[in-house]
Amino acid sequence: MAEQELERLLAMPPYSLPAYEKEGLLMDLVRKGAEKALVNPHIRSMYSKLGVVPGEMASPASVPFVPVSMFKSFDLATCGREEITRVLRSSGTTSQVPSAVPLNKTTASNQTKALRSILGAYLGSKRRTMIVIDHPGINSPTRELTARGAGVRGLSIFARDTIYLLKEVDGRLVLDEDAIRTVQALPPEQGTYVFGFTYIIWSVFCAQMEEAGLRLSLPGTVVFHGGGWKKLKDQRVDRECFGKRLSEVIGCASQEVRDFYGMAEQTGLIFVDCERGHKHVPVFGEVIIRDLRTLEECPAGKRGLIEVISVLGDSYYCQAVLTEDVGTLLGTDDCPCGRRGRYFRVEGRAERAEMRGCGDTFRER
Amino acid sequence: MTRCYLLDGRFEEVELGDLGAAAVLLEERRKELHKLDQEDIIELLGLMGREMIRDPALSAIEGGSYISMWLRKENLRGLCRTNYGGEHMLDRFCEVRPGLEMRAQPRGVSCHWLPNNVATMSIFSLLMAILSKNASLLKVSEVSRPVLTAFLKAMASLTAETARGPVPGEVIVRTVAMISFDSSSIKDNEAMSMAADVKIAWGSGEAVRAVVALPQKETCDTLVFGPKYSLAVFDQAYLSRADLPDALRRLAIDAALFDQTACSSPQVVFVEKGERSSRWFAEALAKGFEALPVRLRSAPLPEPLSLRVINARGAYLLDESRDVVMPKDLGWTVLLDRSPGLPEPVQGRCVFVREADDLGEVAERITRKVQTVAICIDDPRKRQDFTDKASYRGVDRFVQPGEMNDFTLPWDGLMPLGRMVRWVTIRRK
Repeated sequence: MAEQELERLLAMPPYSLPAYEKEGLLMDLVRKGAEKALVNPHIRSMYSKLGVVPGEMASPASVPFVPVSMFKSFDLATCGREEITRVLRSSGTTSQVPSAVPLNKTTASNQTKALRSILGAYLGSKRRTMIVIDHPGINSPTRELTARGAGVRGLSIFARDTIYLLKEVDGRLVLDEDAIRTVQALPPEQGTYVFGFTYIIWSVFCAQMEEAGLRLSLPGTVVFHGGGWKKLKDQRVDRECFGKRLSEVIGCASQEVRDFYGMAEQTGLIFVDCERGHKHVPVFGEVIIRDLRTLEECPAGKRGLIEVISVLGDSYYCQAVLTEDVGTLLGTDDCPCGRRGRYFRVEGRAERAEMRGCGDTFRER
Repeated sequence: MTRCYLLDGRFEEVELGDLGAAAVLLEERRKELHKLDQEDIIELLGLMGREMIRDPALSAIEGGSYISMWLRKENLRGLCRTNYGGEHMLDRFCEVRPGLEMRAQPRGVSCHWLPNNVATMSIFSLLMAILSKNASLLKVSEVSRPVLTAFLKAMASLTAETARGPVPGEVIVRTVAMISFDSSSIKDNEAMSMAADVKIAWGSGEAVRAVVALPQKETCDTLVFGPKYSLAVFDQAYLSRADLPDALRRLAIDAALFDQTACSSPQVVFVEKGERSSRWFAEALAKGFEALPVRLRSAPLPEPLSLRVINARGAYLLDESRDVVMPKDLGWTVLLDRSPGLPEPVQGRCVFVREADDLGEVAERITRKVQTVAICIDDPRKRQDFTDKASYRGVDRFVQPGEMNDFTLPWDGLMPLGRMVRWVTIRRK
């Protein structure tokens, strides 16, 4: 029954439901997923301590959230060990310890369908040549995937064939000029889309293309890039500046350079920029902004921690994951781009700092 | 580049080319301070304490009313007596036994690397220098500068009328310089260290180790107020007392002040195992937190602290062997577990509660990093046993709940005023 409901959500256009229609459908699946997740002793412990009964959760904000860093130290699997086909590792940028996200066939299939639904909204149904601004080594067929590799695999759903524009030489990323020539030789009618990590695109691809005086001409392409802006913010690079530079290098419309927000712990659920630069929430997930003091849901316009609600995970607790990113809800159902549902802005990582002061530690150093 | 915000009584932001020249000026100005009797200084500081309550700009300083209380003349006289061992040791030679006279002479220029987290401590650091008649070179931060500026401007405007004549606050303010520079600048840190006759280093382990490692005059002494850890212990007898709710409300205040980042902030409470469980205790402590004034109970935490509390809560919710008592918001958090030893602090009004089979075992785990213990042991034998063992192992202060953040001397096991002076003797036949 739950499977059928999820299939229904995955089959509908991802930004088609107004909030009042979506919440009921979504919460049915969230409640059922949470009920199933109680098989995990940690999740059971959390629900029991909070006195929450899954069947009584009325709204997305009432679902107990797991802070995203808990994937580093707890096994949050909600299926048998024998079902797990792959463990996805996050990049572990914050503490060097990567998150471990156990995937089974159902979860992987749901994630693929979700990505197909989201990307299809931007690319249509036709397969295209996927141009990856990275090196092929990140997608080697190992059992454990990195976030970069998972990104390439995830976004390759619409790929007829794949071209990697970079190669690794002595541990350094450099332009693969043969690959550049291959792309330059693609016939104009060839449908393409481009994927890469924001920082690599800016600091390696654009820089080396400009230095070599190279340009591509991909007027009909769509660029998806993700991975966060932290390093670029430090260099005072904003979305507009990024889009202008990249669109000049690859010869596409700058509004088709689309940043997306996503995380290894909620693979399949990505939030892609619309033409207005707003990130939209598809029907099979929800985003809540939580106030950093009260932990209550923030109204539109108020900054807080981003929480991602999902119904895609069958193998781990995905029902509510509180990230360490801050953002602002911009509105619901009323984005000028016409997409329904919530839309928001990501403002980056919440401030993290070493403890200061004279009361900082017990450890002898 | 060194910025200077106060020099020779002038509150002006200027670039300071030569720190050595500033130190020479301070050395000159401290002669006027030296002429004042200790009692004159106490009169002026007492007046300043009253001003702190009267002046809205000063009473708004976090801990302002506490500083005002601390500046009561009786308190200052008591502190000087404890630290110097007599009433007039800082003013003249006093006979300490037949044939031996002693007096204290200020070391000269005291250089203060002030804490980043608790601006109140910056004022106390300065007050210790004043009470020992030293000039002060203060390396201020964005946190401490506005507080010190308000404090010193107010002091400059005061004059205390004493039996020996008027004592203008300006005399003291002229012995103080406020500067700032990039903490990673070796050149500036070394220049400040070389200017010092006594160094006072506050802050994290990394910060104080860096100050200690700087080159200095052979005659310079260094006072280190580095990273410390504080806790509370309760025996079962104490848990039956009628005034327990009041004690827990006071303990909650200790935890709520300074976002629990001070060395004297309680991070963990050990509860003796018995009829009243640690869970019972945690719920009683929760009531103490809920009874806090709103400005303490619900003060917004800095973002990094909020994340730390959220993650600690998450871990204790998910772990079946641990427990948590908390409200829906981040007002306060009590984490329960059965691990032995002292947990790494979370801070942000987040207190661990641990059950101990025997409080003697807790004392065994104390190290020299433990500063303050709120001692709530009613059984006299157990109390003596605990304080003997725990002080041997490292504890510097045993206090009652609500007094953990009181700035009392000795502090961190030191008599700071006594260390900021040179002890001079005259032997007679």
